[in-house]
Amino acid sequence: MYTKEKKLLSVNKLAIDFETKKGTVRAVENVSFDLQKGEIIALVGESGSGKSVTAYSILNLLDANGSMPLGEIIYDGMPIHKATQAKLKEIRGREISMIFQNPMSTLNPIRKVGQHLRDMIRNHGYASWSNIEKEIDKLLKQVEIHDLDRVKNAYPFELSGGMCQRVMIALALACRSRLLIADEPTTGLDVTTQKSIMDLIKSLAKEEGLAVILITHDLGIAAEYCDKFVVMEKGKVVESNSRLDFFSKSKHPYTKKLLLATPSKEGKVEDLTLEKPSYLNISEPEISEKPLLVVEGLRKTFIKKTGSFLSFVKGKEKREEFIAVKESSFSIYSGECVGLVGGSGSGKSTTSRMLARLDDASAGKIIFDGVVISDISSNDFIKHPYRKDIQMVFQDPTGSLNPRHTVFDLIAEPLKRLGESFNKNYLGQKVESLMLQVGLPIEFMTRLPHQLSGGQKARVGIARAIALNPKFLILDEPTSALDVSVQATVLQLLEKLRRELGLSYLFVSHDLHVVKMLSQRILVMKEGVIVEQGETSKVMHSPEHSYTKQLMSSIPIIKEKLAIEAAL
Amino acid sequence: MLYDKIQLIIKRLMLAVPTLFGVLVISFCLTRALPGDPAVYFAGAMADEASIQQVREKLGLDRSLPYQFLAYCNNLLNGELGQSLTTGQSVTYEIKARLPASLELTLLGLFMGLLTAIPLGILAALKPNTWIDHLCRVLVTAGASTPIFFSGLFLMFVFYYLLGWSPSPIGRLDFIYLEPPHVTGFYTIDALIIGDYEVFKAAFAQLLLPASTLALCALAPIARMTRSSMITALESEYVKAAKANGISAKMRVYVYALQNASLPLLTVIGLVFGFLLGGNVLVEKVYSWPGIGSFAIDALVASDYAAIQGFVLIMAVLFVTLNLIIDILYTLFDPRMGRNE
Repeated sequence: MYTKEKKLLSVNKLAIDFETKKGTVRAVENVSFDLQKGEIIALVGESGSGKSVTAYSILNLLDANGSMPLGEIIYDGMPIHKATQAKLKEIRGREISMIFQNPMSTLNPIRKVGQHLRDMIRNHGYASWSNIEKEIDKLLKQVEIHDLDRVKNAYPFELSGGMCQRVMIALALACRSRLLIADEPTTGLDVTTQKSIMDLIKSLAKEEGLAVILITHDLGIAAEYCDKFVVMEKGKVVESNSRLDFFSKSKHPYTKKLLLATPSKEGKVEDLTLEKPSYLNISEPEISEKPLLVVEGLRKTFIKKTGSFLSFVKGKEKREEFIAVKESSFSIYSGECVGLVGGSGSGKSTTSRMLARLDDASAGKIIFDGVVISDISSNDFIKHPYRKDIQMVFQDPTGSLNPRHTVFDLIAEPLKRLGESFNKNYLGQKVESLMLQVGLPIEFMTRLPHQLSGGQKARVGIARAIALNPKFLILDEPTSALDVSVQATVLQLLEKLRRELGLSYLFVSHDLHVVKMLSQRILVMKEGVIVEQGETSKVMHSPEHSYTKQLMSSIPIIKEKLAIEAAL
Repeated sequence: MLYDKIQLIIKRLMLAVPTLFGVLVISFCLTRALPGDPAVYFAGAMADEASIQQVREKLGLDRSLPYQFLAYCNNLLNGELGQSLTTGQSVTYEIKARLPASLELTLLGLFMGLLTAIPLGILAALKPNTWIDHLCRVLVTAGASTPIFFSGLFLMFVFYYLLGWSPSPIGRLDFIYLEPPHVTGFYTIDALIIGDYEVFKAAFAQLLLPASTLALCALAPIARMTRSSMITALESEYVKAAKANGISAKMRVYVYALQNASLPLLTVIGLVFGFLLGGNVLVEKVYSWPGIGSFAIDALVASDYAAIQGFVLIMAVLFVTLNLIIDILYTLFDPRMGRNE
């Protein structure tokens, strides 16, 4: 329906070079796409695919060492790839604007929201002194912010991430830009917030005719909101299709791989890759009759001191209790994986830290293998024989590895600390077998973390956790920092290990669709309370609590996926 | 919001009290631990055992330490810092006369340091690896590695001895001028108050060399901090976002980046000012400046208890006040302060 209209933006055979110490590196090559008014185009790709660089080049925001030697970018008939600084200043924010990942840090931390908007409008001379406040109110209403006075006088740190992103969108629209470049606008936001932000962007496109370039790694979001798809891999466009053709006619193996790896409502973990994983012939571990871990009335509160200065002097400050986890009870049997799902601030991380005995509970009992372990303080638990039975895989694969230790040191560390033998040969053999188990090549043994990819780091983290033959693993968002195709293989690895070693998992994640692939049972947490628990299939198909339903409907999925799977 | 901040400021003020008391105790104990007997010194070269004992009793030095301490505190409450043994004047009088001289010098030194270091740091951050960045680096290294007494003498040699641009470096004012009437104690300001530009010029000329010496050593840490915190701020997401939204370069640099960079800078300025107060002692010696630093050195050599205690105390009060001011400014500048307390 838009084809008759003039193109708003067209990128033709663009190439981007970066000057480095080792010579010129071509980051992006031969990228072409068109965009019309009211259209949303997705630039999809995994990390390092060149999608962000492409988008930055449109506003000429490349770093000083970047250049565009080939191709052209035409915006509304103007070749903007060779625009002067003065011309660019006119275009940036007035014709084309941008929103970024991590909205909290893209707003000046010590400037009020109202000042940001005033800066923007005044800088472009868009309103006079008399009507500027009215203009700001209108903008905030447009992005569905209603408590105008509070938000205008708030500093960015006083607002939630979703609110900050709305403010960023208001800034982008302040001077009636016609093209919005959104660089992973919802990564790091809660699923429910993500949905509301994306719905807002979509309505702006459809109702106001805003053209949008959405840069994302998540095919689910792209499928739900975009009209056109450009898939990039290693700086090249591998697939460029309209919505209709994308799901039925995509041919490139990389596109197929991405489509498969994106979690869906029905999909199983073995369907995430084209090749069926080998663990399928290992039978499910037997689930014990007696629970391995029982949690009774677990509670965690944090105390915040408030009150006037006088009460501070008298030592009679009000002690405000913040309840992070409220009387939670559940049990986990050996050989089973239990999923713990919830939005940010739901208390799922606090729960997992208490179970891992890194934090002490305020009340309640944790019984592991028939022994009450919640009485032992988290400082003393390191000496307890159960320490090696309860291990954790952390969320940030980079942050949880010491950057100066080699892979060998990293995997051998728990063995040296808590293992029985310190014999060098034994350590070498054990580390080797662990590396094989998690699918790391042996020659990586001497590498440092920065020489590994995200997926490899995640594997090192898993190898460390299983080094001491634990009975129970806590997986705290183990794949949320990874690309989807890497996530697929890591999830399969976790499933393989559970079957091989008969491990029990508590799989903590914000993404219901990821959790459900591994879990036999699911716990849904909201504001510190477990609002729903039950068999995975039951929770997924007939959720009882409204929050579970809301979580499920917020996660974008590729509706066309079933058809694709059938076609493959 | 404002109420929160006032509360925070009051809390900070209260916390300064125990610090000051601690300083009081430590300075008292340290001076007592110094070798040398002030009674012997005070009684003079010709004194015999009996007259020394007499002096000791008169000064209260024969009593127990806790008693001496309580007596000292009592005197302090009455504004008495005791009698200086070397000059014969009361310590309060000496400090009143000399502190403005030191403060005038330090403040001007700091001001000159800031005036060169901050623009230099900003320019170096805007144009890394250009000549201005290299100049900044050279000045920082030179400022940090040259001891004060050396740079002081060097400046004096060049500008007084070789070029003859500067008046003779003795004291605050050439003897041909009359001291302006005491209002603030700062000669330059007092001279301006009565409108005597001749005296102002003369006093300022005397100040210039010693203040430059201090400025040179203040320059290094401030320029370095400005440069690094400006680079951090300029590379931040919010400056990038502002650029993408077409906010002008001027605004990005001087409002967005500089506002944020000024926070760590404030801490460093506080530290540097404290350092300059200490560094004063050397500059005052080199330029025969009648400030509190040279007074303290003379007192130290003579084991002049009261004078040393008075000096240490006044320095401590200055330090604590300074830190308080920095803390309060920080609270006012950074909206995030006082939120998570």
